[in-house]
Amino acid sequence: MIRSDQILKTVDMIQKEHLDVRAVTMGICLLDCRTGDAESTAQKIEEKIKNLAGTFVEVCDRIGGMYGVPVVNKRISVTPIAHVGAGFSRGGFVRLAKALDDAATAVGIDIIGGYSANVEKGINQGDMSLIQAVPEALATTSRVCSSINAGSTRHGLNMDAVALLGQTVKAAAEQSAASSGFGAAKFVVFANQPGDNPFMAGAIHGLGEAEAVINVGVSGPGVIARALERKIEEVGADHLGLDDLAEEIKQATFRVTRCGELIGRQVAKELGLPFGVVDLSLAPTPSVGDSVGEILNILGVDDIGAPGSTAIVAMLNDAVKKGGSFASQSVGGLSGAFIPVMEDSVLADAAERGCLILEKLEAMTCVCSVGLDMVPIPGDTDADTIAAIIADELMIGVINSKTTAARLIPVPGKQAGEFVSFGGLFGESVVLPVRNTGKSSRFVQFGGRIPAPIHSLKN
Amino acid sequence: MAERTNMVISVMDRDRPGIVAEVTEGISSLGGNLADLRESVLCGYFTMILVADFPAAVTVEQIETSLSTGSSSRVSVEIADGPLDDAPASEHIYILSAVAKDRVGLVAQVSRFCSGRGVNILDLASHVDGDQYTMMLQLELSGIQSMKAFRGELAEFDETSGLNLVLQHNDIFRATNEI
Repeated sequence: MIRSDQILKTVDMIQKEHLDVRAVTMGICLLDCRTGDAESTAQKIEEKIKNLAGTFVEVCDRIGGMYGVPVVNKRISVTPIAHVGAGFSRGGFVRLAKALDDAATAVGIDIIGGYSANVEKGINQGDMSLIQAVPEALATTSRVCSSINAGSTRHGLNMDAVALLGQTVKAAAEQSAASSGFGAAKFVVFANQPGDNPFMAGAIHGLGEAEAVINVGVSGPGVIARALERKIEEVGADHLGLDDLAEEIKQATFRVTRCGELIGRQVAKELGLPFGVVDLSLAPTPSVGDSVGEILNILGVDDIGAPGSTAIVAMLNDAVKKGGSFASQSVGGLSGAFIPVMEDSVLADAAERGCLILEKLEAMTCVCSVGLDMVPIPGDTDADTIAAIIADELMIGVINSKTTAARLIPVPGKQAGEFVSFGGLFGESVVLPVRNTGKSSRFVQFGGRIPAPIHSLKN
Repeated sequence: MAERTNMVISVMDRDRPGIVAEVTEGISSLGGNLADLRESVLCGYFTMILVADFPAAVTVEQIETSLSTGSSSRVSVEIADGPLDDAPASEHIYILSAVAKDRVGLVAQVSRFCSGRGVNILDLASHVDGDQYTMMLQLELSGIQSMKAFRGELAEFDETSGLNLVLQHNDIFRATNEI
């Protein structure tokens, strides 16, 4: 029998620290849904998703109930739609977005990802039609998320695409102006996008994946924060070094990863699907006590963005990977600590006080996942400046062989310091100021590609 | 293979070195083969239950005599009733932890709740820390038709009993504590 102290520690983790499984995502291949026209392709997409995922939510809830660990988000990712709809018009791609939205509604999930394309080296006709369809698709659907991979360590950064995507971000926000530019909150631009990430808005079912697969994103940052608080209370801050705290993060991550994998594998078994990966990411939500920013506070900076924040988030990110990768049979996805401003109440507060600025966020994303995420910026920020911010963020990933991304929301009609709220998991924050706008157009207009980085002489 | 008889043997004594050796040597001297064994020491007292199969000719009295002679241990032997049970299916095993301020009747209260619902207690351990009493019960819930309803009853019992009760699947503890 398991020892009493181990039982009590696990009970604390589940009951007091709100352990949950953050996301179980079913990846579905849609390549076989392609027919000669958009309408019948859309119908086949809906049918396939309903067939494969009809009992998905019910199974997740039942397994979560059995183990007493709730599965918070049930999501679906699909084959990047640019591959499925290549040859269709812009209107045809909008129709496919509607099919994804309807299928998501039918199976009872809140978000479906994969309205996506990979343009890291060039843009083909299918990619272009999809990108042109993105603003309307996101404004006219509620559950569809879109992501574009515009760069990679192997191929460099496609600046023609980045220039176009700066305009796409702006158009996505403007076409959903009635909801404060919410369309842009469902659109993310990547470098080195993984094909097995269970987290939105960037989840896709990559081309190298099986017919269908279950991927899992483990628990949120609350468990880590509470474990650190308990350790500090027990031992005393004076008797703890950062290495001791890193060890505590590793051990807590080990336990939460084990739970996540147990439940994910059980869901996959019940659905008769292969289990893919555990994504070790710490994904915050706007709820109090579920914040990555709070962990940074506990680890010693009084405000997020203060000097030391980058070092701490690097240590956190590394400790999470170490504990999680030992716990899991197969790790993948993004696997790092997210710092999405609007979705993390402590980060949002720091932004409101002016402590956390765009440039510091960018620095922090050099050492954590996943990039400038859920950052509201003034609605009048020009498309070239947005493209240049995306380029900066993506090159961090390209050069450092890691995934980075930008999910910027130019909130229509709002200026820096004004408040924006999308509610629910998407959260709220003040609009962050963008300094030095209008000074990057010559760079963006060059277009072409930033070549792939050298793979030796690392410094 | 010659016919053999399953015997259930329990042993109790003030704890001292050599009890397990005495008992198991006594069993093997009669041709007995151990099937399963569990021993525990509590507040200086030793107890052990074991199951062993013996040649059909060996009697209960022979075993009792063999194990008691020259030993302070109190030994009880009986023939197993029917075939031995397999371990219960792991999917139905849960851990119930119950924490409360120490008082008379806590274990009785919890075990009565379980027995009233046909729930078998597979293992039970407790410890006292100051005035706080903690119980860990390993339960077999295959007879429970609706886990949702059972959890509801448990929540109600939590409210009325003053116990802090948490029910979790056994696999969760294995996953989080075993490498």
